[in-house]
Amino acid sequence: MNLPQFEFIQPRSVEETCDLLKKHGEEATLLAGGTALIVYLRYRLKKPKVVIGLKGLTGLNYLSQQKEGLTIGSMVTLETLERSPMIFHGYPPLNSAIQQIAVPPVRNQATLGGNICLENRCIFYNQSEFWRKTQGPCLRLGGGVCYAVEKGKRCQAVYSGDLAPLLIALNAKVKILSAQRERTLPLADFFTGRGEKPNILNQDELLTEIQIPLTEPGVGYAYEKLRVREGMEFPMAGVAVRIKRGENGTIEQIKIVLGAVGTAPIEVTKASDLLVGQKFDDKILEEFSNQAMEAARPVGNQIMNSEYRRKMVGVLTKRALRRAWAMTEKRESS
Amino acid sequence: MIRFILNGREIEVEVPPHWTLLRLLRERLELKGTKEGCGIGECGACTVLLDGMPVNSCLVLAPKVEGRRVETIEGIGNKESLHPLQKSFIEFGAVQCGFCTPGVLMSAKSLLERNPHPTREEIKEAISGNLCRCTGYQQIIEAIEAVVNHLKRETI
Ligand SMILES: Cc1cc2nc3c(=O)[nH]c(=O)nc-3n(C[C@H](O)[C@H](O)[C@H](O)COP(=O)(O)OP(=O)(O)OC[C@H]3O[C@@H](n4cnc5c(N)ncnc54)[C@H](O)[C@@H]3O)c2cc1C
Ligand code: FES
Ligand code: FES
Repeated sequence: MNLPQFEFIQPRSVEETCDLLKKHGEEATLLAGGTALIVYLRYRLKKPKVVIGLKGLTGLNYLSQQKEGLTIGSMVTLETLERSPMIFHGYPPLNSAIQQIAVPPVRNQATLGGNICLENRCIFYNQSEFWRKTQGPCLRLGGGVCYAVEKGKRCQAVYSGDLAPLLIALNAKVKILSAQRERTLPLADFFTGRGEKPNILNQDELLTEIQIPLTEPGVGYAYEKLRVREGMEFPMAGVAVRIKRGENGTIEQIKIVLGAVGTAPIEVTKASDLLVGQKFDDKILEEFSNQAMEAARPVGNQIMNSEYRRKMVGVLTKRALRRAWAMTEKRESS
Repeated sequence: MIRFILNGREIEVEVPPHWTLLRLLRERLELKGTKEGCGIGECGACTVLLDGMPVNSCLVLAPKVEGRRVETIEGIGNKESLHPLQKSFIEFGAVQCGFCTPGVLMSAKSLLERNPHPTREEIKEAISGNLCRCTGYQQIIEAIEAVVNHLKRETI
């Protein structure tokens, strides 16, 4: 199955890219590593006249540690991040989350920006044109119904990026650029929750930078991923947590963010109301786990049924919290 | 027109912008050793090396390799002088139908170039993007390990 025809332009600067986006409007699509986009093209899920390749934007290929934290250009590959001693030593759970994405040949091309900007996935949508023809277009493709749930009136495609949940838990921000303006906002506000248009990027905008604030002493964090086999697999559910240890083994702050169980990463907001000053014990773990399960919105359109995935969200929450807590202990003593 | 280094030789070739590297290799350059399985990054049959690193050539637009170094299975050995990995694959029965083999060999070659003494886990990770429906992987891993052990002996 070949790709549809398009023009391929490889700009040399961010400014040139913004101008191209402005000029071509809806007809243009950005290609970073292409590991997701090429598949959309092959399936005719996108039919751009112009594809703008970002590889030449060496200005977006940086990784630097400053006193406020880590700043990463959107064109840095997952492989570069995985090999970076700065991340391996400074942000070990991030390193491990990256290693769980896809497989080495994909990570060699895939970028952080592309990972965050992934389109939502659904087994009725991410199929070849031929396959889709057998049942008619779904909501997202201009039809009247979402096949993922019975008589679905809303697109239920799932946000399945692995890194956004963890980065949101870490209070990361993103920088967005267009020919007119630059804006920086919390990654949590980047997502719309709309299956057919998962992020707030306008047609003329480009994600340029990801900023991860320094984690204070006493903070631990972790990401747990559910998948069918160990390699090459989008998450069936993902749980990211960040926890801060207070006096005498109490919990001072907590943040739990779920991935792949909704149309956007879901922050379990109730979790933070529950706890301040509580001891970290099995009882509180159980409560967090219940709240995470309640917040999850898995749809049964994937290989594992939704009830199983919801239960696993509870299990993963406990696992992630235990690991994050252990990390706060290690960090305190060092 | 794009220019790049293919298996050690500089080439210049006309290619439409919407062609993948895989299509360029197979349909224009007649290098059919690189296979197309899924076309969507999931099987690894199309693995080639780009600047020494394995990539899925079905996911790379051909114009993106301008000025870069591409290596395919045709570049690593030939009937008269097989690459040590190729010899070892034959010896260990790591080739059955052979469809996955070029991709696996490219992943393995890249690994050994960057890390001549990988552990078994590192070998498994390096070929985790290459699906094999025949061998069950055991023979493949053993064939690669045998080359690693041979390299170890040579350096002692
Ligand atoms: C076999 C396989 C397994 C995979 N497994 C996983 C997995 O386990 N977890 C996971 O998270 N992902 C997975 N992926 C998806 C994908 O490979 C990664 O998410 C990757 O990080 C995407 O980055 P990219 O640079 O290749 O994006 P691209 O394909 O280039 O782009 C993806 C989307 O983002 C847009 N985009 C890219 N960069 C920018 C930017 N700077 N500004 C604005 N928009 C932009 C593109 O227009 C496109 O719509 C898998 C892919 C394959 C083929
Ligand atoms: S053909 Fe490229 S990964 Fe399957
Ligand atoms: S030998 Fe047949 S797929 Fe690997």
